Amino acid sequence: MQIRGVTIEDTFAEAFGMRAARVVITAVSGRWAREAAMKMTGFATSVIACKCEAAIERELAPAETPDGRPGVAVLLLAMDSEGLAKRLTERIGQTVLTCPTTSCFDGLPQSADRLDAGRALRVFGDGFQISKIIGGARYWRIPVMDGEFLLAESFGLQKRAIGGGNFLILARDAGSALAAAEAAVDAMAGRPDVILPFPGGIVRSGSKVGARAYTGLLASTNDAYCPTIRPLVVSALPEGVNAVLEIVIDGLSADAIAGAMRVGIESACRDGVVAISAGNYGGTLGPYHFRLHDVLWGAEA
Amino acid sequence: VITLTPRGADVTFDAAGVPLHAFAALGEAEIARLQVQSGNRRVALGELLHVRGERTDRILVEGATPAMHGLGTGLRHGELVIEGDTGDRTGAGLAGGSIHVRGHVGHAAGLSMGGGTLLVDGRAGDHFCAAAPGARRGMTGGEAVVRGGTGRGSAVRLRRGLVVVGGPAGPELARDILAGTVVTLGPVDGTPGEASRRGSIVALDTIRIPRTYRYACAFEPVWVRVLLRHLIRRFAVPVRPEALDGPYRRYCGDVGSPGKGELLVQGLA
Repeated sequence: MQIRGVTIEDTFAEAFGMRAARVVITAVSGRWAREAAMKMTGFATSVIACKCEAAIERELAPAETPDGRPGVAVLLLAMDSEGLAKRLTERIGQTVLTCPTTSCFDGLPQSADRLDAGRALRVFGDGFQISKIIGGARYWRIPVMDGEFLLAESFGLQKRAIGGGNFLILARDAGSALAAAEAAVDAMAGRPDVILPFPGGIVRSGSKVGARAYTGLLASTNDAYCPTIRPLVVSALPEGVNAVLEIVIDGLSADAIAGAMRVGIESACRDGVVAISAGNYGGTLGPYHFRLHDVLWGAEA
Repeated sequence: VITLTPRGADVTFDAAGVPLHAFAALGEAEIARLQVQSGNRRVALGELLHVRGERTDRILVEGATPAMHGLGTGLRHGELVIEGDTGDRTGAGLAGGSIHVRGHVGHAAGLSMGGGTLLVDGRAGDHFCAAAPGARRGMTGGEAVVRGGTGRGSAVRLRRGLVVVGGPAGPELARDILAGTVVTLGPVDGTPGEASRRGSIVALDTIRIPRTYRYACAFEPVWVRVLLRHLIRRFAVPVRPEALDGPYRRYCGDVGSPGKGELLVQGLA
């Protein structure tokens, strides 16, 4: 399969199950909602070392938020529910609670499975916190120095979230790889139910499970795609490829990830790109396999 | 839908012993045989009302009059719509489902309700959503909205839940409340929130600040924005823009109690 002269390899992206929550942060202005959201999603690129993966899903207009103020939707994913609850409590407590004028709402209110992150944080009010039930949802009002911090008591849990959707951009040079990756990220930005947890949505240090030289290492460089050591390894790089970048996609559903991959790959197929591939581990890591040709079914060939 | 229509203009009864949600399992004849109190005698419901429909918890009462008391008492689920004015204790002990009265209600509507939704398009008498006489706790959950005014003693000993008064609120509003929220869109008579322990009174119109409440600050409470948006969306409650976006003065009280109750008064002056 080819798109605008770029080969789409017949392979698949291997992804795994995660647990996810959506946090809606609002503030007096979009600036302060973004400030809180950026802090909350900092150091959350990979569960390998960050214990969770998180990013801004999209910005919300005042009409889309519970309090009618500008907002930002954040997705946060972890490997299990207990870990997700801990990360939510830590991150909301340290980054949203602390940020001027913010409030924090549940972005998955329909979910029957709940995480009591807000309940854990209420004690910051030292007995002066006030509970309110509005429209069936319980909130906590925590007195802070600029007024009150309003926080949802619980957050909906998506048990069938998916982490590790991905595709690789194989290009003739680093500049072309970055330009193609940026185009892909721009095309995927703001899509509902997905996030790109890495810096700017792009990964240069794709990894393989374990290591060749060091026992006990959880992950190490994906040597098959590293151009500088091409003669030293069993390289997966086609002739003429001198740089590779990866896009990693987490999401609330397989459909959401596939949709994002589709628009991302289509946008990445441009001058200087030789091929699009995907990271997998032979099917041993995760149960979700996004075959590139299936994902692109219907795409312009 | 089960439709109940009075057989005459002078029909008088108390439906307190008739759980309307039970209609979901009853046929038309069974409903008509249910006994209600009418004056000093027990009579079959069918003698007083035409009954049409069966086996549903969606009920319409047509041509209601103030002589019909206790409609919707103890309702647990379903939807009750009452066309016209009703008597006392409408929706008393409401536990779930919804009651919509397209008219006025008498005294003690929503008395000690514990859940569900009570919406009154007209006015309410005394003791709207208050505690039963002698009870330590009043309303323990649910949402009650009266678009018009209320008489004396609304939301007395409120424990949990939301009470909204659209018109003028009578004296003794929210006396001795333990928690919960009261919103007033019209002027409030008397001294509200006396002996409040933790409850919230949100006043969008004139209200007298009791001497036992202390001024805290002026701020923009986000939870009120969320609450008012919910009321607009759910009940089409008319809220002025400045109430959504503007500041509120916060008073803490009642100092004779733990003092964790609050009065939030819209505006800076």
